[in-house]
Amino acid sequence: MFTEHRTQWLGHPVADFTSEVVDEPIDPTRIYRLRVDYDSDMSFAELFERFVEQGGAAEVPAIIIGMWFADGAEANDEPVQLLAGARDRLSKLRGIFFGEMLSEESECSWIEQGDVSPLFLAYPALEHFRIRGSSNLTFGSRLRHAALRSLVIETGGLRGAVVREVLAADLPLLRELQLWLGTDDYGGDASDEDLAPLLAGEVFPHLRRLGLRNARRQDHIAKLVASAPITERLHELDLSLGTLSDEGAEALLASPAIARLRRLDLHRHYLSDDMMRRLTAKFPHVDVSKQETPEDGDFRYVAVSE
Amino acid sequence: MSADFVVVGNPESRRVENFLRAARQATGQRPTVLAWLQVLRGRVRWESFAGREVFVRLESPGKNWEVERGILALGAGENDEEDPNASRWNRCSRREVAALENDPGRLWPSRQWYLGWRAILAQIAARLHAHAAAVRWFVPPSDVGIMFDKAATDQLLASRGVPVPRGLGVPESFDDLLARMAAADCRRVFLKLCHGSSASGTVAFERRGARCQAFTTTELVRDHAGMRLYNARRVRRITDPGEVATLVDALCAERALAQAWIPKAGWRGGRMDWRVVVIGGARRFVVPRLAATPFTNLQLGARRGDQDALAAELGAARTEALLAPATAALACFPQALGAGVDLAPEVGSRRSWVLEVNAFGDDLPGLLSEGRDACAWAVAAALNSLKSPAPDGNPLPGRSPPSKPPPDGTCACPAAPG
Repeated sequence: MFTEHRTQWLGHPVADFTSEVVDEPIDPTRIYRLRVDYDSDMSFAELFERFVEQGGAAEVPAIIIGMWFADGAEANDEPVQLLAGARDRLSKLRGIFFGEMLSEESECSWIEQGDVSPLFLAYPALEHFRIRGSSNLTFGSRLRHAALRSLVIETGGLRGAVVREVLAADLPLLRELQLWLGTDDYGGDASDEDLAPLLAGEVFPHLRRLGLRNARRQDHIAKLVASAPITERLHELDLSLGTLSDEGAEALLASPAIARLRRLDLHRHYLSDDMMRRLTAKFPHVDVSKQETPEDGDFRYVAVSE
Repeated sequence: MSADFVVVGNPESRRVENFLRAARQATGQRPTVLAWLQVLRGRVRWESFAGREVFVRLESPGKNWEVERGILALGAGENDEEDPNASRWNRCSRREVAALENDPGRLWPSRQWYLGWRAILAQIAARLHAHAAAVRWFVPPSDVGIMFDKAATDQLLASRGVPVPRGLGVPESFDDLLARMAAADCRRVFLKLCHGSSASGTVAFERRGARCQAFTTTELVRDHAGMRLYNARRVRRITDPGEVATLVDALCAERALAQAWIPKAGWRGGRMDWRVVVIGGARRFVVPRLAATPFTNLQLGARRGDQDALAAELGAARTEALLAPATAALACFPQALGAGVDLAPEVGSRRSWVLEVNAFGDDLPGLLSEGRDACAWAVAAALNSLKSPAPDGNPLPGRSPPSKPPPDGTCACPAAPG
């Protein structure tokens, strides 16, 4: 569940750009989140136009596309096209976060994403791409991008087809990859086979930070990663937000590669107190905050589903 | 003017107990207690109020089955000006009411309950004004009546410029609700019983294209005896359109109000609103409520947040701007000395919206403001109001002048505006 917007991204403070502040000057040291209010008379297209026509827009380092439909069109075609079309006016853009909506604005699974490949064509210098919601999401048949360093897909259920597109992409500089796997209730059907090229270390030679998060089968993912070749060259591993329990943690404890990590993020988990102690003793850089307790017997939830 | 305090409530309730304690502490006298049951059964000796000047505090009639049934029975004999043929909203006869058995959590015909509630409020007002020399109210019965009608409250607030969510009116059915949503270009609504409280019979509904989902605490039970509605403490999510339709149809038969669903701002991992208790024109308690579901009611698992920490984050100017609508909502009831207001900050925390005004929304166990609990503040506000001139001995609930702060700091009663 997403309850709050981020206040920082890529080391910059984030500010809202809504119909109420369209006349205020843009501060190019900030990142703006373009977002329509629930009863806004101003459409997203108009809001976007007001943003890019401001002098400071040419200098902003990144942009966040928030709620883009109040009651109008929901599919992402329009915001994708607007953003791609503004490439000459957003010439310093290095980061795009597409679809930062809260649960109170739209359930993650209801965010109508679509084809985002025009963004990668329009912004060849883009370094960070983050997206929320994977309904209808596609990166196109063969994504190629020479500059991208970080790719994050936040979702309550990641389809195997999207995983295959991402792992087939040509992203030579990619250092960080986060895939939120989610649950099959919300379309998360990525299989071990889909993840195999990643785990085998066959793709993204510069990958150092890997997140396989928010997974219904977080224990299984932990076991796969614990013995996967990719882990040998990672600096940071993130298995947070899912249903990790002692079973998955045992595999992590037994892995020499895991012990060499500079950071291991397991926060929001179902670990026992004892296991939390063992993990902290063995891995000085582990984050085991936010312990959950199973409900109704043994039912464990991921942090973001619907 | 001095006055005898009178409390009308369920004597066994913690609310009445708290008020008695607060009144005794401030005045040294024990207020007169009238039990709702006594009033409903016509067992009050109204003559005993002859010549007295009284200050009346009405307390919730809730959590007492005999009282609930008595109000329902009274409502059976009431005409509904909005439904003269008694065909639109669920009703039951006096005989049927008499046969009802306590069934905890069950939703009874809500409109009929309200008609009975309004009737007993009017009765108390008429009797006291007929006998007593002067009557003052913490909240006058006519205002309690409006506050217990969410549609009327919403209209009143909107007409006075208080920010309320866009209204879609009182739908007849699920199909009607969908038509209203389409006409208003509104994809997310809250549907609430006009006369319900504590999220009872509330549905947070969203529709997009062929998909729909509803969050609710209302359980629908169907068996050989027919269909019944219950309040549960668990929030369920329903995605089957047929199931949603059945539930919404059942709630519409109880008179329900549809409003746009304001996307609430979040804080510390929860979706947030505020319960603000306004007493004597001032915000005495501001309690952030943080929820994992669209419902922020504490009994549904929401937790209280730390208002001081929140205000520090928002800054003084923004906090004041966000909380101001609560005071403005109470100002729509100039004769009411206090009530609870539910206020939702919108995502972005630049605006906030009044969701509800609760006549009995000042029950905040364990919370103190400047050393006093809500009851102590209510008593203080009552004593303060008694210093302004009494209505001219008239028998009707005339408009009493707004309470004023005392001229200096020597009085035990607090200055009203804070």
